[in-house]
Amino acid sequence: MSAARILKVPDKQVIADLMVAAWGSSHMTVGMQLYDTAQIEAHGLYSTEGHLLAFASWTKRGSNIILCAVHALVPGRAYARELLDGLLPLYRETGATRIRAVTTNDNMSALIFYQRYGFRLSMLYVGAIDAYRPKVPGARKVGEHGIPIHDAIELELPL
Amino acid sequence: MNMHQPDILVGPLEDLAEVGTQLRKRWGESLLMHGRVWMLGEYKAIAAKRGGMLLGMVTYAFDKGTLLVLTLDNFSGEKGIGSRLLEAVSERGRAEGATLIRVMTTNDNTPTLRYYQLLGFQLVAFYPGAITNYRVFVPSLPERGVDGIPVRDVLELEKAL
Repeated sequence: MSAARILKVPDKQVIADLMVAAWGSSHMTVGMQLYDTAQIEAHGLYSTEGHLLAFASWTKRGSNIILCAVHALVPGRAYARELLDGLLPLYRETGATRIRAVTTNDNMSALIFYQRYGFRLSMLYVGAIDAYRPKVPGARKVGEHGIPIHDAIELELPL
Repeated sequence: MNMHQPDILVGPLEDLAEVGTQLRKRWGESLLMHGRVWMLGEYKAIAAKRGGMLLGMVTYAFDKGTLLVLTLDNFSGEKGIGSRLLEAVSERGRAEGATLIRVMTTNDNTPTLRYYQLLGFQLVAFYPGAITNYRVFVPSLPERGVDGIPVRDVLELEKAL
């Protein structure tokens, strides 16, 4: 049991900085559209002391919640899951009918996390990250485990 | 590099009955892979053995200049068997003039996805529901795979030989 709370992240620059630290860029591609995470909604899971434990950045497009990133600042404590659990009612209130999450071909931990949560693979965009790299100069070329980053992978969860 | 244990023999497995028996346990002997059905006899097999014991097996076929790896199984659980088989089948492919090798894995299997990508394979195709459909023909295919994730889809990866 945790006394953590979910709140809107007041300063989106914090999220942008965290994304740059994690991925080299605060840009994300979803459905072949380029989003700057700093420009969209961000929620955080905060400890009772007010520390940010995990954050999610997202936007709504039609009936979809586009989940750009879910990132736990402390791994192995299920904070990302707790945050997502807390966001589902909020997403349902928006009238959205599904979540579409995006990750990259190197990101095994995201593939495991989303699929264990109940998401299923919905799309592979071969070479999508390579294609966007000229527009996103800082984007990493090598990701988790030293795997070269080339592709975007989308997963879906009905709400 | 792999540790090449000298007691392991890797070579063609020409006994179709044995190939069929091994595959039937897992996939059924008619393989639904890479977008078509492969009947026993349309594909070949390479086995890794110690003494008479079958440790692992790879099955493969050719589509023009592409070597298609249909199944790659390590029955023994011993480390390095999969790599030995992959090396052997790649060598076979090159000898037959193939310029590409294509492999597949399932949506749950992140260790294999990572393994292939670290070997230089790149994702080329996604077949949503391919395993769900396969299960209609082979009901014994497990519902859940690695990390308890439901097994539904096929991902294909490719590499230059």
